[in-house]
Amino acid sequence: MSEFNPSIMSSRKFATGIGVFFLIFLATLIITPLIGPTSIDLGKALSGGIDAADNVDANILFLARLPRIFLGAVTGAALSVTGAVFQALLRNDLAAPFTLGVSSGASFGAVIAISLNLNFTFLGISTLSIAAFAGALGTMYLVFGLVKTRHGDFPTSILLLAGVTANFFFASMVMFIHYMSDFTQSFQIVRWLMGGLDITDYQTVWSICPLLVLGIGGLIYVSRDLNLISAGVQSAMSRGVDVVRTQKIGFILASLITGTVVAISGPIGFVGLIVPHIVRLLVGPDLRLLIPGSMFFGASFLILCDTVGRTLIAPAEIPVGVITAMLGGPFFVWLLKRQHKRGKV
Amino acid sequence: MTTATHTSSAMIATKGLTFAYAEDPVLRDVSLNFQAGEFTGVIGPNGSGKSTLLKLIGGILPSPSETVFFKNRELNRYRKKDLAISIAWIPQEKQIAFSFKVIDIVLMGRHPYLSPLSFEGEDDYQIAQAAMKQTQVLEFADRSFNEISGGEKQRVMIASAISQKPEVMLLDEPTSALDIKYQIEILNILRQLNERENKSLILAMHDLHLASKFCKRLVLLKEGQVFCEGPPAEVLQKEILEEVYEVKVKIFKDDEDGSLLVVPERL
Repeated sequence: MSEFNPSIMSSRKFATGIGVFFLIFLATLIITPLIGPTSIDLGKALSGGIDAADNVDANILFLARLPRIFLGAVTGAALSVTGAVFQALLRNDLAAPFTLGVSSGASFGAVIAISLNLNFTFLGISTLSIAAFAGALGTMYLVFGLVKTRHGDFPTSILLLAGVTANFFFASMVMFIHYMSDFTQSFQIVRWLMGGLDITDYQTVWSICPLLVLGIGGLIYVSRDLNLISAGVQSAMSRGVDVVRTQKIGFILASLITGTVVAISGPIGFVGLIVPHIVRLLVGPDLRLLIPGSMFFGASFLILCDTVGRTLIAPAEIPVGVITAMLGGPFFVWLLKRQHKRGKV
Repeated sequence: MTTATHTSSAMIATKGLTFAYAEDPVLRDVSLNFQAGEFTGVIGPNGSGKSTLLKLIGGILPSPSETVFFKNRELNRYRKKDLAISIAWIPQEKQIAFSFKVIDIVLMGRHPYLSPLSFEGEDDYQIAQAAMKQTQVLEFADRSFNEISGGEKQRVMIASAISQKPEVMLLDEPTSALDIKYQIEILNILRQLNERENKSLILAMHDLHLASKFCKRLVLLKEGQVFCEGPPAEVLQKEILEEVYEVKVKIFKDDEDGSLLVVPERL
């Protein structure tokens, strides 16, 4: 009889996997604040009695770089986790957080706010973000409203089509408003659609954290159910998974998380496609490891992309959405070729 | 609740079960009893409702109220995990979306026994290992499920169902995509489960010869209705099959085990 020693998921393997991704994240968090067009002296920046006005190093570190790095971390983490979850729920590894139209709905909301010159803050959050979040929620309502549960089955193919339709519809609305807007608004719109992490306060990051923690926590709670669904809906039912309930929880939480970060950072594409793929290649498709792994790796990935954006053509900056899109295209081609080779497409 | 019970000695019972996906019913007024420890084959032409019947009994499709009962209690009243511990439904082997390993798939059978956020423990591995030994897929444990052959996949699916430790196993055409060697291998595994572990088996089948060889009882469906049921020798008769399948047939008997071979009269 052959020895039974397969590489299996156990709490120890799980801890090791998470540990490695967490260390990568920690290293990114420590190193990237020191990288930038102006070199800073960490000792001086951290020296006691910081007088914000004349401590230049502290200003750059605490006001210019760290808020941005924190926002990059939560945005990257959120988009990567939801990418992994959407791929599992739709049983398609080309799905992404924006597949169901959440980001184009958010863009529509943001573009309306720009064209109406709504430019104030409410509870520390800009009206732009609030409008974008409302757009994301409205899209979710529309898209999920189109899909009815039949015979105990939540028809994901219809959901997918509804999402694609929403994407086209809102993209055309954005184009229309963009065309009607003046020069300043037009610049603001283009800039928002590129996605960016350039904030200078911590309040924005903290304000979205509770929702993200709850959302990602909820997804981790149903991660084994999601595993079974990703391997087959009917088999999952036969193994005791409440499939419709899990699908609803998964789609709604993932859309909510996506809407939240898109409202702040704009539609930063491809992160949610690339990161889950890389992590899956490393640890396999088990979402109990894939979700937290994507969270830490996604955070690191987006911080690094933004660091490239900050430094490549310094003192000018490239929005992080441009960097991820430039990486995303070739990655997509590689992915398709790889699948083609394995006879999947 | 008296309304939710249906008193009979049968382990599984359907009572006036009518079911439609859209307008036209796929099953009409199906009343059947399945006893504990039976090895039943459900046969009938394409579209006669075999797969749908299995899905309704397995809780994969929601059944109309007061129509499907497990141990005298309406199926819809069971918690999903409790039902999974009692009844396993096994689809035909197929590709899956992600490269789960064979061991991952088999361990998924342990899902109804685990609470959220917990990992499979030593017991679960032991059970999965025994199931893989039983269906001879232990050597593939670390291979990707999508990379093994059709017959191996079917055996993995059965191993996964075995580790679910159900009383009833429902198999939707477990052998129809396989060559004759794998067909016999699969059916011998199922026969062992039935005879040694007293598992109740209900199989949707196309191959009438294999059905007569392995099943102790056959249910013949035509256009969603039960045409007849009974021991294979009673169901597989020339007049019955000619009426149901609408083709002239000849029936030969294998004297060794009494199994019946049904062939079309002329091509």
